[in-house]
Amino acid sequence: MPTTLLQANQLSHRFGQFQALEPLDLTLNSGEITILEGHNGSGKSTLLLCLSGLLRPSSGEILIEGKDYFTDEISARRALAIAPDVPRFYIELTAWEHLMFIASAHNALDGFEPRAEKLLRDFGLWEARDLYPHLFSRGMSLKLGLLMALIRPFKVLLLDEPTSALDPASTQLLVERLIHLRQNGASILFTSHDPDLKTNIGDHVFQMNSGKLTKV
Amino acid sequence: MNFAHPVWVIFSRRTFSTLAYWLSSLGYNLRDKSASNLWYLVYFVVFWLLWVVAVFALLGSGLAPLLRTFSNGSPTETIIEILLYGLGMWWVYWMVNAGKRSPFVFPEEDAYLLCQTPVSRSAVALAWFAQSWFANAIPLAAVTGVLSFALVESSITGPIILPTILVYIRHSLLAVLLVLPLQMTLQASAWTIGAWRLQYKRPPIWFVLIPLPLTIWIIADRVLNLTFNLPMGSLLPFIHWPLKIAFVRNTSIEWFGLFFYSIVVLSLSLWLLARTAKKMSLSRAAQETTTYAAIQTARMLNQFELADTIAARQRFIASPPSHLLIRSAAINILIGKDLQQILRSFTPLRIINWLLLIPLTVSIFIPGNYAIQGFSTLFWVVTFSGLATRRLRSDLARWWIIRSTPMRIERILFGELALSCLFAVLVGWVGLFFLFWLPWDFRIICFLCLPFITASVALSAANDIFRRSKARTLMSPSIGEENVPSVNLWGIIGGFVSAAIPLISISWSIMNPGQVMWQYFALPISISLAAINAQTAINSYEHIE
Repeated sequence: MPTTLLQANQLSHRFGQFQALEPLDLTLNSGEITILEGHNGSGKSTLLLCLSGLLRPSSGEILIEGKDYFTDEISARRALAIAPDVPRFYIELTAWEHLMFIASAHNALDGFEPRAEKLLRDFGLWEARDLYPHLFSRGMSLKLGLLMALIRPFKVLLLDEPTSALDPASTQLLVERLIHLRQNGASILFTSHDPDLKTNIGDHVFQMNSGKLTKV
Repeated sequence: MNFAHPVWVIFSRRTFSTLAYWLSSLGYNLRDKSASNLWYLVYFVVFWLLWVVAVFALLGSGLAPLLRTFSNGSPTETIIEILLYGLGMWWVYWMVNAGKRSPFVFPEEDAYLLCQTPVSRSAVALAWFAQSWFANAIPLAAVTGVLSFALVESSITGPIILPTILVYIRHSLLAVLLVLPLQMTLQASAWTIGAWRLQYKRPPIWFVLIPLPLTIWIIADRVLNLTFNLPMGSLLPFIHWPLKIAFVRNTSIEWFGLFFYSIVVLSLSLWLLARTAKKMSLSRAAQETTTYAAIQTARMLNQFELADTIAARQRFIASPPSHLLIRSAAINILIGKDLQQILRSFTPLRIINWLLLIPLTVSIFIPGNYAIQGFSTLFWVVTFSGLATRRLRSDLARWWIIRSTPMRIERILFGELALSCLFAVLVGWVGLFFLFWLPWDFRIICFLCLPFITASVALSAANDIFRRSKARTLMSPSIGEENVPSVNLWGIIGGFVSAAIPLISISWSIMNPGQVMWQYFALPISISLAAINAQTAINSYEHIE
């Protein structure tokens, strides 16, 4: 029986006079993958940022396991993980140290080294673990952003165009990882322009158009 | 001249915009084509010419007695030696630089556009040389002008009247007109070496060794006082001779003769530069200089942090995992991360900023004059606010990381500000310990208040940054911290008020012996202000939109 992990009620966002998100309702359940599609500038990233708490909504509420995000922020942040489409990293920390920092901040240092090694090897970043991320290509940066979400425990995973700069092998690996996470009860929401993903792994597909959300 | 030539188009536009920028900073709008602006131009030129003469005269009159004192009877020789050393060292610096990195600096847009086109390399070389020369010529002309004024001042007696002023101007102009072609020729020779290297040729070993004997000689002769009886002029005769004519003129014919000669030599050196540049690789020049150009542009736009970040990105390549992060995890992971970042990004310039804080922190407690103490406090607040929030701004620029961590805001603020506050407090405590002439009870109150005053200033600065931060801007792609606001006027005012209230209370009590009880109010006041600032900063962070 799936349980509701994230619920957005009448969520909206404005940038000054521009209505980026019309009031919308969205529910993410455990063990489900939800795909958000839409053209550039339709409001997909804004919705993801609002759901993750990185951007404060102009109105509406976000409930994480039934509790309001902004009244119980610490629990909400523990439950939510996000990987943005253009992640920014510290110039003074290496890829390995970024993972260590995130794991430490989430109190997940037990068994960190083998977990980090497996993730880095799987995604082809093991050889680059001691490099500083500003030397990474766009695809490598995106992968490190993904790994920073995957290295820590979470219940809801939000990914902004995770396959936009990945090679086919890495995309396949990510898909397998997402399916595995779904089987373990996580709820995943990601934006994508890839039609194959929609048909292969999407349990629900939503379309964003000028800030309006409709179910496909 | 072909005015549609792409190099000319770029050169003229850049020169125009640079000129417009500097003229606007002096008060003239080059883009305003109205008739009234033309009249204003006349006033503008006259005003600045008079200003230049007045400032040169002022500096020259200040310099003249120094010249008479330190020149062993010959101010002219001293001036020639100053310029000889200056130009000689500057030339060696340019030669060494041109041997290592292209003197032709291309920003990224030129690297992708101009450097990939088959435009004349000679035209590019001359245009880029002219731009660079102009930037170097202005300070040199100013220095030569001031030295000429000082020289005339040291030889003229009696009151300054109009004909005397004309003598000052005439001497100054004649010297500048000889020194500038000389400097241009020297620079052209260094750029020729640079252009030659950009033909994928390795500079010969003797070229690399040119500065070595010169440097050894200068250190031995001038620093260690080992006299070889070899005047500097004999080492660099091609610089010494024109300088001598510029400042020791016997006849007009001699001056004109040298001026003509300088122009001929300059023309030859420019021709040699253009010829050598014919086959140079612009792609290689761009490859060597795009990052340097980005750093220069950032500095010119007052974006020193961004310039530091770009430079740091060049330095940081790989590093073994840090144990500091693991060790600090139990206390506060942000402190461990910040410490790691500080250690890795350490530069001498940063330590100078922190060293500046030592006298400032001590000076805010020294009573005696409210105006001086107020000024010291303001200066301390401005300096400390920027230093204290450096790491905070770095974390805000990685908003998606910091905002996703399950840490309470109080813990985040502590992690961000604790290190800098701790340093300022320790420095202040050490300083207070050595203020022996102040009574002990006064010093103990200052000891107790300092942590709260420091925290107040840092929190006020943090609050100002949070208040003006926008989440969407923080999430936008950037190189450094340019999308994070820096401490502004309100942050400084808040910090100043928070520091000044307890400080006034302490100073009042020591300057009015009958009012001792005021110093006991300082501690509760500073604690209350720190608590208010902390709460305000927390609210502002929670409401970043």
